[in-house]
Amino acid sequence: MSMQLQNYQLCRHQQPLFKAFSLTVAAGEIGAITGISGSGKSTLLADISGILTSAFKSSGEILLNGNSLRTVPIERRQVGILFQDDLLFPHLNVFENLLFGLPAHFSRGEKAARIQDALSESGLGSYALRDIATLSGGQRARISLLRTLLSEPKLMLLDEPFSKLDRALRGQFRAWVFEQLGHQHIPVVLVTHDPEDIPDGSRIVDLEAPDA
Amino acid sequence: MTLRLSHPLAIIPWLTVAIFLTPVILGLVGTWLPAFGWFPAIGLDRLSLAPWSNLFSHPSFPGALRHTLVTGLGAAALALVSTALLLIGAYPSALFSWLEKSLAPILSIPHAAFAIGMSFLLVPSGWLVRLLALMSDRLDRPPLWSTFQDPHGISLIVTLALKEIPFLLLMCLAILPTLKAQQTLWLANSLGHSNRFAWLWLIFPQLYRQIRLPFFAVLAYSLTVVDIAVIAGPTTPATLAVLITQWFNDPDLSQRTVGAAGAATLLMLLSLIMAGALLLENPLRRLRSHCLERRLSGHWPAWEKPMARLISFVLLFFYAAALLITLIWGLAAQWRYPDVLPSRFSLDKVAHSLTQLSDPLWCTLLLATLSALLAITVVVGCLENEVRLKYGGQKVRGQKILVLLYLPLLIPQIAFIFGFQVWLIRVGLDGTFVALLWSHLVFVVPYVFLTLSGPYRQFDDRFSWLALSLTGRRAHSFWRIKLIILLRPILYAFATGFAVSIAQYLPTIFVGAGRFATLTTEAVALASGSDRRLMAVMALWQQLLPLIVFALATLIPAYRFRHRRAMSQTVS
Repeated sequence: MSMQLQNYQLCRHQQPLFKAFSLTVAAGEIGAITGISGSGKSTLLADISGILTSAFKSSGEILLNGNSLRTVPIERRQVGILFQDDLLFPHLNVFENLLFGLPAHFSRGEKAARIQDALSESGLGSYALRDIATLSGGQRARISLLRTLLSEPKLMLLDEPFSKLDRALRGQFRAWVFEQLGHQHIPVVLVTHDPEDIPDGSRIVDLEAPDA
Repeated sequence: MTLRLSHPLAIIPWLTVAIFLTPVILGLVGTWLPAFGWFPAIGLDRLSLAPWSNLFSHPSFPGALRHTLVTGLGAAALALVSTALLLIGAYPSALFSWLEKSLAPILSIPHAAFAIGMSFLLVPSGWLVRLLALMSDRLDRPPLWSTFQDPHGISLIVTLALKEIPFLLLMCLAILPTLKAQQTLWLANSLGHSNRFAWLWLIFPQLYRQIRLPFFAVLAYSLTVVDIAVIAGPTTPATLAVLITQWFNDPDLSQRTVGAAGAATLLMLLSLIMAGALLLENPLRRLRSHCLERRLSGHWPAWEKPMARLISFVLLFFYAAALLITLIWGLAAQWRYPDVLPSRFSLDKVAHSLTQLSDPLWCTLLLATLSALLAITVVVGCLENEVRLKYGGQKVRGQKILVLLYLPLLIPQIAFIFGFQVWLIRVGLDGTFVALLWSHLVFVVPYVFLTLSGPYRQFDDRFSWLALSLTGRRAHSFWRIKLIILLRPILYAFATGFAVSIAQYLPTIFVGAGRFATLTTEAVALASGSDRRLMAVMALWQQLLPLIVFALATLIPAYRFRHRRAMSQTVS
């Protein structure tokens, strides 16, 4: 499995946001995209995920395992995403939030077992029936990642996922996220403005301002 | 992504606009043609100015015009000034947050029911005089003053203004946070200016621009209302709108052309007044710059605060007392003047009303439920289409849509409902339930849109996006995530639509062609009679239905999300 961006560029109202670039991320690898705020980092993830607002136009190719994602609608891309906000559904409890991401082919029992396993492994075994509003920020962040991983994505996108966490929590959560992602063996694309967030061995792209 | 024109949602905005604009346009044409003497249905097929000369030479016309202008402008001005005083004197404060919470039930009270309650309070043998009689022995019989339906239209002005202040307040409260009113006040105070200065010269000018459309709707309503004017307005002569309704329903068919000319006159009058208000804006703006430059700020004592207290007291007193006395009249068996309470109570009338009212009650319920449901469906369709356009390469022209939405609220009902009826007769739809439902939708759809569009547009699209990428199913993402998170505002919009339908009077009278009676038409019909008990029972039912629905709209989400702390704080 691998993800490729070929000669990729984003334009806003016909103005390029950065110099076109190419990037290949193999399974188990992390591609890190950095740049100042406003450089189009998050928009780039929106495009890969399949949602691009009309103000933007993108050019170049987005490939997943050699197939172009351009014509695939968001619901069939199997691209998971993690935001800086946990975006847990406020009207569902922990279990239901996790259930929401599980593929339909599992039986009910299998689903429940998978959720319980995921929670136990993350030290949240007793939290299944909790209202998410009663959890701490760190717990919510972890459940948010578990929810995405349970949906078995073929590509994982991380949109500054650590920027809203406390300093103390941050390093710990970061290590945990990359450990979890390591088990999945899928390509991961991370955008961030903080060099500390990028694990060693990542493929790094620094978005450069376009030529005037 | 290219825009797919064939997308099923793409048709919804057109459908929605068609629903509420077709009757308005057909209705205007169908009113203006008869106004110029062209009305083939009764054999008039030559253009003439006769309807106009008949109208202007009608003995009641000058008086009706005067009454219309005095009560309409008076009520709109009173409502605007009271709202302004309430804001200067009490925003932001505990009083206000309390007032804010009582707005929804207050707004849901149908106009006719409120006017009936006001009549119970204000008539010479009403509660207020009875309370005075407690203190003075000179009032042992009802005085001969005309305190209700008075020839100057004061009772109409007060009733209308009381009904409009909550609406204007609600509109202002929705906008003030976006104007950073609190910070502006703070800043102005720290620079040595009074609250009054900050409101008059800094906040109101911006606020007015944003509430101009709602204020114009209030103006249009005050100048052209029929049901409240029938109950609380002067009678010799009545206001123009009431007179026009009588002409439209006159057994002498030729009077319809006079009514049409009257309806056209009323629309022109209203347009002139609105144009005048727009023209006044520029001189006022110059006055503001002038005052800001000269730093004019009179140092009068702050009388707005006690004034705001007084206004909120009057407001809540009349609403509470009107409801209470309607309830007492509904349960009274015997109630002599000057007793403050009935000597005997009975449930007879209420029980009796259940059998007598069952047809109007069911008709009202069915109309209100169906129109609110249909309105929610098309409005959600429109708003979903906006989301689709946002990601599909097109701009959303929200502001233009808003002006269109306000059209049915700005154009008086009486100015087009007759013409719409004439058209329905031609296509054989008059007096059918479908046509009646359609006529209600004309007014329900805009209100539902105005209530729902704010919270719906604020929804964080990333939730839908996440749900899509997690499940791969659009239906899941929409029904299980978006609609449920938005359950509270959706139910609130439903309740608003329901209440708007309950309050409709003219559409039911005209489009229903006498075949459908609702609680509102029955209540207005009874208001001219003498059976206060029956009138009270009718008004009670009328108030009760929207209140129940608003209560449900609050309780259902509260119950559904009782274990979800984050969902209990979302304000609709």
